[in-house]
Amino acid sequence: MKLLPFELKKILFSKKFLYLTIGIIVAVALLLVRNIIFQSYIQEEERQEVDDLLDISYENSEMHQAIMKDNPDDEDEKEKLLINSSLVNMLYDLRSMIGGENWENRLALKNEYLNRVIEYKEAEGEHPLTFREINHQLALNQKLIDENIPPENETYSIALPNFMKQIVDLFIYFGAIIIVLLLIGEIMSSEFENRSVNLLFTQPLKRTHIITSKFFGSIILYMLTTAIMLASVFLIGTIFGEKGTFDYPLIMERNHEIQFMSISEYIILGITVISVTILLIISLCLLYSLLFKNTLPTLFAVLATLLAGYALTAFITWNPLAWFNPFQYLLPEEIILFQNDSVWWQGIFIILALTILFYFIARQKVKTSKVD
Amino acid sequence: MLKLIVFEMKKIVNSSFFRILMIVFLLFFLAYYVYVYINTERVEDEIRNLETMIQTFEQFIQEKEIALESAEGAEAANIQSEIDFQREWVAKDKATLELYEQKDWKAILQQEIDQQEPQIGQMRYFNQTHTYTWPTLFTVETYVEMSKWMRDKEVTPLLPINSMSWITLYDQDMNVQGMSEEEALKDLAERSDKYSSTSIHYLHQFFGLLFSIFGAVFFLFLFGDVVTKEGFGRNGSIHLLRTQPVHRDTILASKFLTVILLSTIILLGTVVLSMLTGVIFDGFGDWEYPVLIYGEDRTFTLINLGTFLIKAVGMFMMILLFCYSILFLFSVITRRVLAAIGLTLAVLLIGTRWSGEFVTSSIAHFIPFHYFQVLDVVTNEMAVTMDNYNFSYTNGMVSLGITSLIVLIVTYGISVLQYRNSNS
Amino acid sequence: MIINVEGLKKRYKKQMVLKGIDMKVDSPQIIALVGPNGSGKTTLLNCMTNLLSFNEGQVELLEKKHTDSSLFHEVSYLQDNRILYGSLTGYDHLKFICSVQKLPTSKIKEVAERVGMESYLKKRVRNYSLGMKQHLLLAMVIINEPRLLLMDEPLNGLDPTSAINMRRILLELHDEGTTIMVSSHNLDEIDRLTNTIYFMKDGALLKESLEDFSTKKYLLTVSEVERAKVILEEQEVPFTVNKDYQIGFEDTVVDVQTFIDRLNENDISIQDIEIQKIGAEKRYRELFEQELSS
Repeated sequence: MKLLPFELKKILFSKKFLYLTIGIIVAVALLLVRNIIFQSYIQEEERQEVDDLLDISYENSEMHQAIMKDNPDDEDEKEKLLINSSLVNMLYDLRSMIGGENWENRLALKNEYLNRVIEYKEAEGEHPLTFREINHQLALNQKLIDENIPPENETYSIALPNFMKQIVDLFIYFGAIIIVLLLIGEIMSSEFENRSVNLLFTQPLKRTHIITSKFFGSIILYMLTTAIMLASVFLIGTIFGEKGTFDYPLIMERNHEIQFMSISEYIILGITVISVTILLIISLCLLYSLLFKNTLPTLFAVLATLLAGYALTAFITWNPLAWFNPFQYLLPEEIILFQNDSVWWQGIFIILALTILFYFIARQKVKTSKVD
Repeated sequence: MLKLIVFEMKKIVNSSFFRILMIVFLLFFLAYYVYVYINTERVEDEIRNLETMIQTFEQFIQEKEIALESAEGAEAANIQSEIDFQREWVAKDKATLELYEQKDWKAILQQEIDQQEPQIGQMRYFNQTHTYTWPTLFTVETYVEMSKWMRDKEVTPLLPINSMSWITLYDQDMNVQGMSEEEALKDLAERSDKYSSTSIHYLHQFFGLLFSIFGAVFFLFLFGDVVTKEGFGRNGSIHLLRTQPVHRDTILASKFLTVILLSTIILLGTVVLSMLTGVIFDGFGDWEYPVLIYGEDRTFTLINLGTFLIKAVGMFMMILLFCYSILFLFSVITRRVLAAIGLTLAVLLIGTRWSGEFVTSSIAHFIPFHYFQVLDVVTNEMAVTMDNYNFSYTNGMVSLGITSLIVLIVTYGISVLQYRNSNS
Repeated sequence: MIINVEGLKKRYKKQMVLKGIDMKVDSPQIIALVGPNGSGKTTLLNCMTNLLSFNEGQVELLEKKHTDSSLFHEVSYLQDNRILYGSLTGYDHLKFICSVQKLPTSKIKEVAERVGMESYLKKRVRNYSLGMKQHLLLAMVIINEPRLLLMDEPLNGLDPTSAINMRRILLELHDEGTTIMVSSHNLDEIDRLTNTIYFMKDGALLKESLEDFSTKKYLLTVSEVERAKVILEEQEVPFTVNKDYQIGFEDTVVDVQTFIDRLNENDISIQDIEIQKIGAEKRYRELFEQELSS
């Protein structure tokens, strides 16, 4: 393990690491600035949403009236018309409550409206919201009222927990992969490109130690970068954002039943699954570096493997196969929030197994690796 | 300049990574062709389906006739009417079968038009213009119009021909027993995704895959190290060029032009290849095949597939231009291939992800990242889903063009600054 | 046996780059490896250190198989400066080598003084000049006091002071019992280092000890040049006269003593005799005459 400090030093003191750290902090700060700027926009957006719903009700109303004109005794149509006009009234009330202090009442009214929409749809009325969407919204609103947690805007929230979720979402959606590839994508291939691998090869070292130290070095660097990111979110969010609560509920489905997950739980699961995937990517990167000895093909092969793997496994909907699918955490939100006939941790074993496999193949490969 | 471009091109084409990627591209093209070929619905399949249907009906009628012999009174009358009804169906199906055997598309389309057209008037009469349950008025109207277009221009329609395999963006709800709304819609969407292995239709399918962020990333990798490989600004073989009587800016410009030129050649090559494969295995297809372009407030226009594809290629070229300009910017700044490619990918990723949150703002259509789903932009499907009709083809071309230009100017500026600093 | 190479053959695609190299070195000495570009010098060194694989033959260094990485405790290989890490300092490099070679870090200061790089030891390598990098490379290979030191073009980019310094260090190491194998283009420098030269030509090795050549060149300064020339012409001896009016000839053509006697008989006095031994360049010219003339 004499190599490990040397490996870490090589990257920690490189300009790349410095810029990457600055980049992450700046990105976090910029996102918060954006959210602060867009605070006033939240109400406008809500109003727009209500207006769109109103438009729908007006169009529906015209439709019902046309049918009634043709057949004034149509009871079904009369019923729908009645529900629809109560929907319109509720929407007007909702509109006047936007920006008000009393969020509990607003949510309660929203739920009343949604329940009425269900009634309307069951009477074969037309509405673009599906039952599933309505049920999700209903459950979330009720939960917020029960727990006495004020609702937060999903995109522009400046409450620390919700803001952290936004960042973590970016991170688990390719963010972590891009950061890791930028940071350690050339950890092995650049040694070949620069010929510096010859220095390592002409030292009294077991060659397998080179792979081991690079592998663990990469993991440490990844953890360090993740820690820097979370720390910067925490600091920036605490100083410039609002307090909020990490118990903020997120809607999830478990075996087709609506349940809740707290933001803290979501963040932990998200970072866990993406970190496991990162292990696989690091081992792939090392292996491909030894095969291609060149950064660009290595990078391409890693991304192509992930993409092709994901695309191929997306075709297969047979549930038990998920235990053998190492690519499922590339878009992890689905896996975490929709655990229908599946559990969030089912991909971890195969990924770890493959990581170990690739790591050992790389160790074997380096023994005979030559510089051409 | 021309000599430089030829020199650059030679360097790129001779690199084994480029060659391997081109082979991968070709293999993917052929594999996908096989997939499309297998999934193409043929007239023979359609005829076979009809024949089995007729057979089952006839069998059913036979059974009923036997039952009729032993039946009496009201029951007999009941069975008789059932038989008559089925006979009518069989007769219709036989007529259709004959049309399919003769490949009389005009008549088949006419059948569909006659069947669907009356619905339009009815829906209008009841003000059902802005509904959400399939089939919406928009869906029926477009189906009839497209059938008329094909009838009038003598276009061979893609199979299967029926209104059960046509869905538009306004269909957001569907009542099917034993299925949730989402499942039913997904099922229908799959059925309306019709495959054809003829040249122009395959090109449509293939471009649908290629003209996305994935295609752009593939092209980025093809030329990922064109600037950094020679250590632009560092010690590297670029000094060979620098010590020749060529201006530094000319080198960068010639690299950029080479990349654009090679991309064009690859795209044209794809078109030619698709023409060849299609014609050899299936046929050319119809240039005039109708493509639905969404308009504001549930209006629409139809354009022909040929024009549609040309427009799409144009837009994808602009996307490549945009991507390359970012790549060149980062190449000049970082001088490392990993950093250049990685940062370009990061920008594209963050751009496409964040831009989604700005769709309703008034400047949304100036953000070039919105336009990466080329076919959706050209059909205006994106405008419909985003409910913002500023996302038009023209706005896309303009915003991509202007941003690329700005990025290129910045790149040039940085390159000049670097040169000055290295001289001082 | 310090170096034992037997029948080493290496093929790149269809081209044979090493055509069966045999080399045996059993006592400490300085060996020069000389040949034109592309003759296979670096390939040979890389094969010996397991950086390249080869098709046939075997290599043993210090009685160990060349694939045994532990032999690098006693073998060092000086390569070109691309192996250095730009983002690290010279000190970082030496510290790393100390740690893998299990050496105390006090060695770093010692070796830095020896090669004369104390002043920029803590600067990042990306800011080094070519010569500075060469110093660092030298420090990196001598820090472990190797028994066998392989060097690929160590004199590249060195100014005269550094070159003299490097020669001093190599001769010191040789005195301490290190076997050194140097590939170089600088034939003058090689003449000053050693008499043992391995010439490489098209992947084949030709071992020569210049001391084996009795050929010597004599430069005579005489009282009467013109008469001396006549005498030489009489004896049909090929000779040259240089700008200092020294008469030069080789001892293979005529026995020196007879010739001096003849001059004395003719009352021509000999004021000075300079004896030149044959140099690497001369031998190189002979061996690679074809290449040189073309």
